[in-house]
Amino acid sequence: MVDLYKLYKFFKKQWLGSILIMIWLISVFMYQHKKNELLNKAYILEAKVKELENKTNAELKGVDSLKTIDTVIVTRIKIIKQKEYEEIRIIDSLPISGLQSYFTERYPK
Amino acid sequence: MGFKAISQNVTQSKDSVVILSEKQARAVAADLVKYDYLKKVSKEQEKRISNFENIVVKLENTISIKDSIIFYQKDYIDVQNKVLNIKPKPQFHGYFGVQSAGFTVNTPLLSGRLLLECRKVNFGIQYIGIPTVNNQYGVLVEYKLF
Repeated sequence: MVDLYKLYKFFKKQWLGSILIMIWLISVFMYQHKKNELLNKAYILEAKVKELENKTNAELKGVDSLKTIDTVIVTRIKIIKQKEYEEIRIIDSLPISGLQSYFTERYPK
Repeated sequence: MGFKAISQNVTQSKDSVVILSEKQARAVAADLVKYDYLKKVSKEQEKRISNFENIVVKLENTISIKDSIIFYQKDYIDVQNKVLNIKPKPQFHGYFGVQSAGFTVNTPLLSGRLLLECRKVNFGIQYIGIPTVNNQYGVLVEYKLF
């Protein structure tokens, strides 16, 4: 069992050393506490940055898919233009009866 | 050679008859075809425009997110710098070495110090001497000049 009286006598004798050690222990504890707080803050910030990076990647993927859609639309426009050209060629080679039926079909009575 | 072409305007004016030459009729038909296809192209272009608008929105979002990332990364660097810079104050250090009594190397003495170093003041204990011959212990208080 710890002899409290002996302990008291020891601290009384070594009062300066005890005070210094106490101050040191308190300062180390405060330092650790502050460091942990800052590390925790850094961890939260890191997580936030990662989350935002994931969000950016998702947005960029969206942009990529929209660009693909644009390419599809451009291809469709090219096809439409081709069809238009072909139809104009057909109209140029239509006989008169064909032209008449074209107008009749377009504007029925 | 002519034939009857009935346009919308013509039908409205009591079925009046307009005579067009074959060349004119073909040109009208070609224009009508162009008009039909232009309507289709216009629809596709509208889709393209709305698609571009969506791309712009997404890119703007990306830029704002990137700005946020830069902001948080600056914060992160600041915090990491703080972590690196904080040191326990006061710090506990020990020094051990050899010192001479006077400016001569004939009488070397062992020297040791245990210090609790605050910002401006150091507290601790000091030992100077030759073990088993001459030992001197003492309490040390120092003020940091520079």
